[in-house]
Amino acid sequence: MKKILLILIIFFFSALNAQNISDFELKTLDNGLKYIVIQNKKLPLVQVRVIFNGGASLDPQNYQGLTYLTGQLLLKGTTKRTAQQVAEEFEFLGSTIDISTNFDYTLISTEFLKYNFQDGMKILSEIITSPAFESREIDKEKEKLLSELKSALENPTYIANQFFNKLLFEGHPYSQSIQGTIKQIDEISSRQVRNHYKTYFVPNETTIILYGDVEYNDVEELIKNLFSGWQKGQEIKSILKPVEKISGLKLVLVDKPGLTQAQIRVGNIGINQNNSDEIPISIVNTILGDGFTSRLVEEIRVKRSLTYGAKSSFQSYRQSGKFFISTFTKNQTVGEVIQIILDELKKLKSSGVSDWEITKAKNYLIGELSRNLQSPERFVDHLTQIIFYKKDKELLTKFVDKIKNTSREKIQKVIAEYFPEKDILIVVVGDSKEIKSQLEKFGKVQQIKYEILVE
Amino acid sequence: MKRLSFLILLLTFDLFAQNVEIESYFLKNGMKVILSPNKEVPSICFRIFFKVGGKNESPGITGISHLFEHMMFNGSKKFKPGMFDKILEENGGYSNGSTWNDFTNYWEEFNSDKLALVLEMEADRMAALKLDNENLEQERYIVMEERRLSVDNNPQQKMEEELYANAFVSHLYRQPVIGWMNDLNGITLDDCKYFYKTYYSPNNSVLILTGDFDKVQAKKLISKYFEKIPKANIPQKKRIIEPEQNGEKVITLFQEIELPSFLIGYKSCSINDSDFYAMDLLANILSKGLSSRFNKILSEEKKLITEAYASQDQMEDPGLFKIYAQARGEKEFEKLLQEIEKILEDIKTKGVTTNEIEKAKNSKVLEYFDFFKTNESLSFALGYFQTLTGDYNNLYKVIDNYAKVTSRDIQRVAQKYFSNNFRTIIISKPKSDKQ
Repeated sequence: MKKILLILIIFFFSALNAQNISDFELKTLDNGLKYIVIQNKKLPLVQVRVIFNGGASLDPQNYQGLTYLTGQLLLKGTTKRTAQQVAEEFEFLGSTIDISTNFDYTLISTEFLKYNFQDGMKILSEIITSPAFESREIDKEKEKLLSELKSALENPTYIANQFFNKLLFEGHPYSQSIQGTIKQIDEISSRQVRNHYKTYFVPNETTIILYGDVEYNDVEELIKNLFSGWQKGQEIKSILKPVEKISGLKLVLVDKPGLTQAQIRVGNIGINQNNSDEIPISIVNTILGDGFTSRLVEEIRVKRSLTYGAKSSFQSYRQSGKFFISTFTKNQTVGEVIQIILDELKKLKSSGVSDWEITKAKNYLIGELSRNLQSPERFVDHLTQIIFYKKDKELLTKFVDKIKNTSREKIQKVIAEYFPEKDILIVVVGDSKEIKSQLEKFGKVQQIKYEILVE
Repeated sequence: MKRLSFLILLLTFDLFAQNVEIESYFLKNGMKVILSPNKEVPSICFRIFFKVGGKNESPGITGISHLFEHMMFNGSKKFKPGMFDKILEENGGYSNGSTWNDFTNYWEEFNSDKLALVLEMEADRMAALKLDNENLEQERYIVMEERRLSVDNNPQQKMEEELYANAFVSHLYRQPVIGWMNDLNGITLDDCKYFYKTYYSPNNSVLILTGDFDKVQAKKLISKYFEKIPKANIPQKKRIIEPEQNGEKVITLFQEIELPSFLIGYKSCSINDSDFYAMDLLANILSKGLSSRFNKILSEEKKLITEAYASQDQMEDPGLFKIYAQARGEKEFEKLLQEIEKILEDIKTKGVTTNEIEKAKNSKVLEYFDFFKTNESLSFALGYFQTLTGDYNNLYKVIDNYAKVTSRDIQRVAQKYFSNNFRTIIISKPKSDKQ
């Protein structure tokens, strides 16, 4: 096959410079609150991210969902405004606010029209520094969350992802349910929520990222005015727990009667956020299961028409992460699809990857990352990850070189080290009576009911 | 707190819009071309809209527009099967396509120096697609998996499908864009050939380029690759006018679900109707955000729902105004419809508050800027407005159109459309409830 020369990228630094991210230093207030302001005046908009260290890993084992619930309750009233006033006044600006939680952090994401930026930040600062946590609001939020958890049990994709995490990280906080469980959410008290906020939502563990049509001096002044009075708290000490890889083949069937298509997850422990092999791993992962021309798409979708989508990913957190392949197929072909996945993992180990595949994957990644610079949301989300996990800044400013310069040797090394072959967790969600016999040929099948997610 | 007048926002928007460079023209074969260059990132988005979708499909071959969209990636005269995506990805790009009731569109993003190559590939698949049984069979089964994922094993989507199938009796909006499973099974190669010859012609398409290109050179290349494709005679289908509905329709589905829900569809207006903007703002007032009426009343106050949304279809012919609500349990479900009717009744008698309408307009301005964030989003917006409204310039009138809406307008459209006679309700209940 002809070898394709790596395409010349007319440097993305022009785009980066336009966004002034060369000066990419965090500033800190006396109470420890960190912030960064980056100007871009293309649109009259400002993107705001507020990231609180901690996340769902802080949840006690029997009170899963505590951090998530606390995060959602920030919106439910402050010491100066009722929940309704917060909603009315914030949304009057045209903006909506999203609060999400993962294992390592709680993240507030919003966007303002530049004219509303100051007014929006005032409300946002109240939400962050002086939430009311009235018992009535806590009860209401719990009730809503309980019904949402119940409704999620209708969704096979949700069930598959929950079980994959639960079984992969068994014994580690990353195995817990971020949004909690029906049984445990019910047990959380108002006092616990207030204490959780007081202990963990502190300025010295928080970073604010602002990006868009703003003036540096005005913003610095504003941040000082709004957040200087926020009381410093204790440092969060993350409890490091070892994560054990799955050894051998572990095969779990989650029975959900009535489905005509099964959800399949295959993988093992991946990498943490600060792994220096992130780029070579992304290159190999692209070859295996990212984009429309990956090996998995080629084998499962294009050659055999067994699925609409097949993807492999590394999802990483501070202490660890997961590598997983995710796909779905009709009941009759579940065994066939799993066999193809196992064969592809084996082939990756035994035969490696070709020069053409490496070049294609490098160019694909460079193209994708470059275009991300144009979307304010994708850019600021990428930046937030780099800042929060204290990742190498060059992943943002020099990613083109970093990807281009990754050697074949490095790629061979990461295939050997990070991609599983025999040590594998397989989770299938489907109608057991239709698919169980197909799974048994791979080994012992552990069958569980989806309803245990309630516990 | 000071509140910024919506008028100032309008002025800002107009100033901003003037800075977006756009040129449009027709090729000799009737293809509409829209060019919008900028140098933000060294990348280009190519997009092509074909004015064909679910509503052009005869009964028996539902899903052919979408199935065909899949087939367009599987080889043409100059490029072997699989090469389209491989060439794009190895050059730092990607491609995709999507099909709706009124249109089908394809797009790619790629590095600036690959414009000629992409135009050549796109023109080749438009003029000389590899149409054979191998291509058809491959995609037929993939689409069936897509259907199992997005409809058959997705209780909420199943309700959407049933809603359109029952709300419309004459208009082909009643057909699912993804197609009925039996129809997917029955589509033949001849059906595909006829479909391709009829609808994938230059005079039925709009080509859009956004991003980092030189306009003069781009025009030359577009002309070189596309102008030689001959025009086709597109059959002028009769415009189907849905007869007026004369009574409420209620259908109950029993599904593998945990919580009961319903989806209501009121017969509503087209995107080109002057009522559209009032209806769209009304949907926003009902369900967007924590301060929306649905959230305030149905969730916070009465604790009846896990979620609820209202939305106005954006279709070329009159579509539906939809309300979906999932109850927290059986007991809550019993009261839910009545409570939603009360909210609609209140708007019919009193209209909405000035605060609500200003809030919804502000929200629309912010949402609207999404169109201008990336080459990809801008190319979609230009093609969408050109195809659905007949002129991409209507994209720039949207904010003015929202600005004109008054509380009286909202009250008037609520009275006009929210009648039980014009509605269809799909109820979804857990299978275990079935007697």
